[in-house]
Amino acid sequence: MIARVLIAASVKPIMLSILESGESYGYQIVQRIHDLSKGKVQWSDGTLYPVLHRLEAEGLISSRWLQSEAGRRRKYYRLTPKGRKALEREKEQWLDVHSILAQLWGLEPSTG
Amino acid sequence: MFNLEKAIASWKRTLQHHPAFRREDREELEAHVRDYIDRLVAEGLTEEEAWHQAMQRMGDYGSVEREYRKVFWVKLFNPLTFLDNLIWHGIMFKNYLKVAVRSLRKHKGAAFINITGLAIGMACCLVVLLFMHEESNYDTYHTNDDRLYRLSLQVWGLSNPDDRGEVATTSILWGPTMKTDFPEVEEVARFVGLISERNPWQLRAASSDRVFEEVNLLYAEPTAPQLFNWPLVQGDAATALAEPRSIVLTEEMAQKYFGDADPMGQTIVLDPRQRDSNGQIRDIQVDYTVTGVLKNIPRQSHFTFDFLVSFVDLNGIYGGDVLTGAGMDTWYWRGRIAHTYLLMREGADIAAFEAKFPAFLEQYVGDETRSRGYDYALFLQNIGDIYLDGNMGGQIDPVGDARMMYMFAIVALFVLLIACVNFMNFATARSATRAREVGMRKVVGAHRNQLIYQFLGESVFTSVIALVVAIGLAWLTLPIFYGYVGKDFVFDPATSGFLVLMLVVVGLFVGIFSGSYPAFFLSKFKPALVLKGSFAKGSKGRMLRKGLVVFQFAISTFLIIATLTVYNQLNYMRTYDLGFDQERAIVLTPNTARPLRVEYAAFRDELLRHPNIEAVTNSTGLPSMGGGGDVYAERGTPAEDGHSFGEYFGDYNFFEVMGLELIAGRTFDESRPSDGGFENEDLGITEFAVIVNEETVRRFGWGSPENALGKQIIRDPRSQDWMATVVGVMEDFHVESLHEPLSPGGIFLLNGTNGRMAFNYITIKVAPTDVAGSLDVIRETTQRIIPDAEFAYTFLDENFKEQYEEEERLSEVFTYISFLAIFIACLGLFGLAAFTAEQRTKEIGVRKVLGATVGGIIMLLSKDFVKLLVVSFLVAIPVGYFVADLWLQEFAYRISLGVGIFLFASLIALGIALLTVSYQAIRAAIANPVDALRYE
Repeated sequence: MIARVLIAASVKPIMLSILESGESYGYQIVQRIHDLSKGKVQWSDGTLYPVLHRLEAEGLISSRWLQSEAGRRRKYYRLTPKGRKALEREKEQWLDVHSILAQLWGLEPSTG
Repeated sequence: MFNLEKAIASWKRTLQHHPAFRREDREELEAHVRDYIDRLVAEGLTEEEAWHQAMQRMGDYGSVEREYRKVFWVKLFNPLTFLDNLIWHGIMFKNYLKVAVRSLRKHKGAAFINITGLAIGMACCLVVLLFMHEESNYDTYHTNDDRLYRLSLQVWGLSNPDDRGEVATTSILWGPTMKTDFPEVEEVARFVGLISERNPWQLRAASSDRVFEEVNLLYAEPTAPQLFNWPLVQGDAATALAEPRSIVLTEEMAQKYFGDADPMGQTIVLDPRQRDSNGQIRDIQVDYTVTGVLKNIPRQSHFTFDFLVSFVDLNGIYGGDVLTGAGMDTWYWRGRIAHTYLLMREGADIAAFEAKFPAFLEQYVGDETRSRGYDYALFLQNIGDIYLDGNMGGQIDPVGDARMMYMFAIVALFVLLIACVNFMNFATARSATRAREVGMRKVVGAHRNQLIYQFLGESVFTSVIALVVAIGLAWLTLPIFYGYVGKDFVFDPATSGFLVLMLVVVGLFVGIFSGSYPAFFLSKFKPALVLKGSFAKGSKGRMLRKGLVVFQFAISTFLIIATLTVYNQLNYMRTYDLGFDQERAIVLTPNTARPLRVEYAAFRDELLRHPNIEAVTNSTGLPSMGGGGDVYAERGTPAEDGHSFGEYFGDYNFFEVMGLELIAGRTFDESRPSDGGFENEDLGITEFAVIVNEETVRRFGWGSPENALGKQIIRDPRSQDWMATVVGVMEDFHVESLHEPLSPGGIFLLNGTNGRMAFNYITIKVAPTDVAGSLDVIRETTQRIIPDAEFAYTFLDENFKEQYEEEERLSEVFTYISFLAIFIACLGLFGLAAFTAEQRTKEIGVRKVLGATVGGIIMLLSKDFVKLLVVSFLVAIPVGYFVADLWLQEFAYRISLGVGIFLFASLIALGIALLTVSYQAIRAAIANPVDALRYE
């Protein structure tokens, strides 16, 4: 199980990264996170939507309504150029953190 | 049997109830749930199992909603959300209403105090708002109102240049001259009114015998109807008044004079009721032809009239051409007899135009005013500003006063605020009783916003009830209030739109304003604390309540100070020794006195035969009316050193009858015919004897009264009207109202050698016993001698008091308002005291058991309130002093603001408040402690 604070901090880069590979809708995004975390990340599906909305409000992603073949209307999200830049920054920061921890734990040779 | 669609629909309704979810969000969540369920069902679960798992994964309602709330601000302005809210609140409304009604029922006392207070406060506001609406919508119908101005005038005496009076009247010749001289003046309209209320003219249709007395008739230029946008229903607005002897009347008058017949071209006979020097009516009748019928003049005009007659007819009256001044006396270039209105050209620079006025006056009036001791300055008033710019003399009709209007508004708002404070105080003080409800609502999922809406709704509900009562109260008091401001209340259907708006605004304002703090306060409670019972009763918001009580009593005390100041000043003026005896003097006014001129001696002698009639005298004016006057300069000094001087012409005994006191010299002497005037052939001037007042001695710098005897002063030094020799000096008397400073003045002999009988008033001094009987004798004698004249009389003292009508009205309005204010404030205090006593029931019980006396407990309960009151006095007194002092500056003779007024006002407030509090305190103090302690 991953601590709540970590989930809260990582949800933004996770979402942006999922959308980096293409337009997607809520259920699909949630499902993908589930699959990737192999159940280690446990959150309420409902709480993911507000995160999507916030990212949209910040201008990092945009949305549109599309009709599926089955006739169900779904809201699709995709990355905006601004979101792409934000994702780059997130990547750098997370890799930096990862690098610090990896060095401290001897998983990676120290560069300093 | 599980039904997926029903489950989803029910879940969606739950979401709907919250403003954080937009319709779009709900749809998105629904798609999500359906996708998930589809998958689970595909994996082999039943619909019901899938539904529960999906819901579990969705998370509990609270946390989801909280997450949504974080992005709530973006959605705040979404109209769909707003609609959802409305629907939701519609559902909850029934519940809120139920709770509100219950709460009102449960606390009947508080509800009564709240509703009474709010209703009175609202009624005050409604009345004043209606009044303000009425007053501020004068003269809004003129099409050119931005370019239409009245030419107005400042007048001042050279000896006192800082005291400038403003008048609405101007020379009759300035208007047309300005139009010729200044290209920026597009058009001019002048009006002259010759009729006074006292001497109406008689008008009748030539075709009828019915005679009407009319006052509202003006001489007007042909341009007037078009300039002022007074439409004609018949006739041509441009030419109706062009021909001499034309008359234009309003529809109402057309109906009055001609009924349903066509008034156009008909003849109306005007009789100006002029009297000759013997007071006999001269038989003058002039035929006028009706050339137009005006729509009735809108009520909200700074002047109205019933008839307009052609201006050129004034040529005959003023002896020259009123357009150019040809043939007219030079007096007409400075005499203030006309009202002049100018229509400026589009885009004219008003300030630049006004800057030309001094040169204009120099050119056309020059030294004519200054050599007579006074001077003029012209200015323009936009038509829209005239009505509320009170304090100007020479208006055609009485106007309003913006200062008075705002004062009423402030005072009414004060009363309403005091009532709102009661509401807030009760709501916060009783918060404990609502705390459990708040806790319960929160536990079952109510949001703070919802609670705020609920409590606001409750206060709006209370305020709407109060509003209904207030409408009734306002309806009853409107005519009374209008009586005080000296107007008739007319309900104008055109204001109903404003009325409705006003009601909605007042109702909502009061509800939201007085409910805002309690709502904020009550909705803040932590449910856990409240429900566990560890909630300290009523301790919250105590400071605020104290502050609010201070605020209420500061306003009340301020109003009491204002009331006392006005009352004292009024009393001071009423009882002020005016320097002449005004008791028991019956005055016959001009309509009765003038016709008696011929038979005056017989009239006087007959009255004096009656034992209860002590003296009879006559005069041109009365001390209380200010009389006439002009500038007088001492013989041999330049005209600029002159002073304005009030003239009173009276019979030999006028001096004695008025009870004036002689200081030096003598009074008029029947053995000296020269007192009444003689031709001084050496100087070529008529010479009179005069008795002057002390102020004259001071102003002319004659040193002592004795030294003044024999001094000679010349009336209007430029024209050398006549000369007066001082034969006596009397004590000062106030020739005008006490608004004005004392001015120089003197008494001349009226019935001198030339045998003139030009008096306008007969004053009869009667014995103090049986004044009514004396009045009957006078009436009977008068009617015998002049059977065709009316019998009009007044009492000299009444006459003088009439000048303080405005203060009298102000005093009464203030008395009522401050009574209302303190009444409402005390209602609130009464409720708060009851609340405090109730809260401290146990404490009081314990204290009594331990031996506290009833007196001690009353002290204990009253002490806190006394402290608050003292603080409120500290606030009210400086403000009260400042405002009262400002108001008193209007009076030349005024009371000094001593400690007395403030002390007295504080004592009144304290007394009433203590009385209120002590009722509750005593009740709590004498209660049996056993009852208090057995409780629970």
